[in-house]
Amino acid sequence: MQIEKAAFGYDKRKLILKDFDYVFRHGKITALVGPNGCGKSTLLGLCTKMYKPTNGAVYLDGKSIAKFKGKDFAKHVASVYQVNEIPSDLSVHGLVAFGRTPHRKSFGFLSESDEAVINYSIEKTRLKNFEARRISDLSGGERQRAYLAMALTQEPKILLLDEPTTFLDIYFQIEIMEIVAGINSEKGVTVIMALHDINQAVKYADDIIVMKNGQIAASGAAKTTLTSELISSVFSINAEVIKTENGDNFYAIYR
Amino acid sequence: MDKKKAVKTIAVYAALIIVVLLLIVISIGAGSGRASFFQVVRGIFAGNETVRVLISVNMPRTLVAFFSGAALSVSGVLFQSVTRNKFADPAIIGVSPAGFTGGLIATVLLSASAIFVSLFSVVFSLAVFALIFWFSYERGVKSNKILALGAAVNAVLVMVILTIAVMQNFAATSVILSLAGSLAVPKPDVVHTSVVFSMAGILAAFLLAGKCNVLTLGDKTASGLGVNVLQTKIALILVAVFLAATAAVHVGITAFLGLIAPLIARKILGANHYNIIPLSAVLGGLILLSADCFGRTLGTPVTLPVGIIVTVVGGCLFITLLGRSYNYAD
Repeated sequence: MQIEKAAFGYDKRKLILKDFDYVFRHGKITALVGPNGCGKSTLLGLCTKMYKPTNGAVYLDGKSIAKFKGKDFAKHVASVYQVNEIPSDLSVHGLVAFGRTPHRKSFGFLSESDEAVINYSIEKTRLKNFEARRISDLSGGERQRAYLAMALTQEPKILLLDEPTTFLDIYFQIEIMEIVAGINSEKGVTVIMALHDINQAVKYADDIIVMKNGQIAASGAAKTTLTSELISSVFSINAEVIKTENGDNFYAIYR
Repeated sequence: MDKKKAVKTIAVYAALIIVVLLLIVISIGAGSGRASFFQVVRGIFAGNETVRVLISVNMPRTLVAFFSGAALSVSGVLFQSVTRNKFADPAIIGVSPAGFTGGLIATVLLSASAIFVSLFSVVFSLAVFALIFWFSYERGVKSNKILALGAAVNAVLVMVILTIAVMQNFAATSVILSLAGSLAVPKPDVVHTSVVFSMAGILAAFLLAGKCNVLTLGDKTASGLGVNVLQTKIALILVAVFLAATAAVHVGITAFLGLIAPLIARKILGANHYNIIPLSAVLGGLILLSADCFGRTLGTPVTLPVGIIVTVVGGCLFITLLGRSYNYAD
């Protein structure tokens, strides 16, 4: 997926995203980090066709995504959001089955191959024991995994995650990250995710984009791009880079 | 578990079909020139003359009542899907009053035929709802605004209806009665229009059931699954307005039916629209027809309009449900 000179704003005089140029590496995990209001979610919104760029374009396999039909696009790109509607009276299996929508006609029952994909997603997201439970009865972490499973069931080439772990406790945050990393390595799905936690971004992503005021402040390999100077200039906080025992960077953050 | 659900579904529909048939027989015998249930049944098989007269008098009314109730309920389901609010109702958001106003204009000012009255009522409500939709649209359909604007339109239109009545020197009671759904003995072409329009609308709604299901996940997720949310909502609104206007010509501004029937349907067979739509149709038809039978029997020789019974009972039920903080978001 490639973003070319994209700009976006509800108001033309006040752009949320300016002149954004980036090529996401195929089959890799890219993390977007930056302070609130820096344009992370807007950028993801452009990639999902939720927003139309006021300037520039987003390309998928060399074709502008504006030219994709709804269902065809949904076979290529799936997304998981921070907050989701919780439909009443819907089981985990029922929710995940909705992921087949772009692959099916409006009528008819799920085929065997549909069921196979649904089962794969449910197993991958460790929800086998929750399959028959209602979405409304699940904990936040289980629910987010169910939505991730639905996205997987679309069999996308690109998975977009908009702060999927924001409202989860640390255990569930790491669980989601590990599932996403697993999918990426197993199926080669390209992952683009906005994250708040810098340490998680560095640990699980291949590439990182640091955003500020709707522009790229820095980008590159996740392991090396972030320096304490960069963090303090973008987030207005102090960060100390600590080497862990296995040689990874850990960012200790303070004011 | 799936098998259990299938059995339950079949059992529910079978039971309802039996209830519908029983109620039709009761309805034939209800009202002035009353005949008991068994008299009617015996009469049907023996070809009794009195019963034949009763059928020709009461069958048209029975059909119109049943299909108007079905249409109104399904219209409610679709509006609930569009606004993502379980308490949306075609009468409360101004569509039924618009349909009735359209029907009144066509009947009084243009003295049109049955089909034309229905069509005019549909077009008029579409125009009114297009206005509501236009004002409530900002970067997507804003549900709360639809509900609030609709309530205002409702209030204004009821006064418009009364104004037309006064200007035309009607005996005000006759308009008030039809506003509350008098269902006065309909002519054959009225019956045909009502039945055909209602069935067509309900079928269209059923074809959109899958889309309604996806919409329950929210606009963002639905469009992520490749559904064109705006297009879908417009299609749903077209069908919903068509159904509500078709019903309004006969049952006036009967409120809360479009809300109560789907609520019961959801309780019985769950939140799948492939069930909610047909089930609401049958339940809505049943409720309205029972109310009509009741109204004809209770006040003999005067007939109490269906709208009064349904709205009062439905309204009280609604107040109870909402007042007892029935899970609002659910």
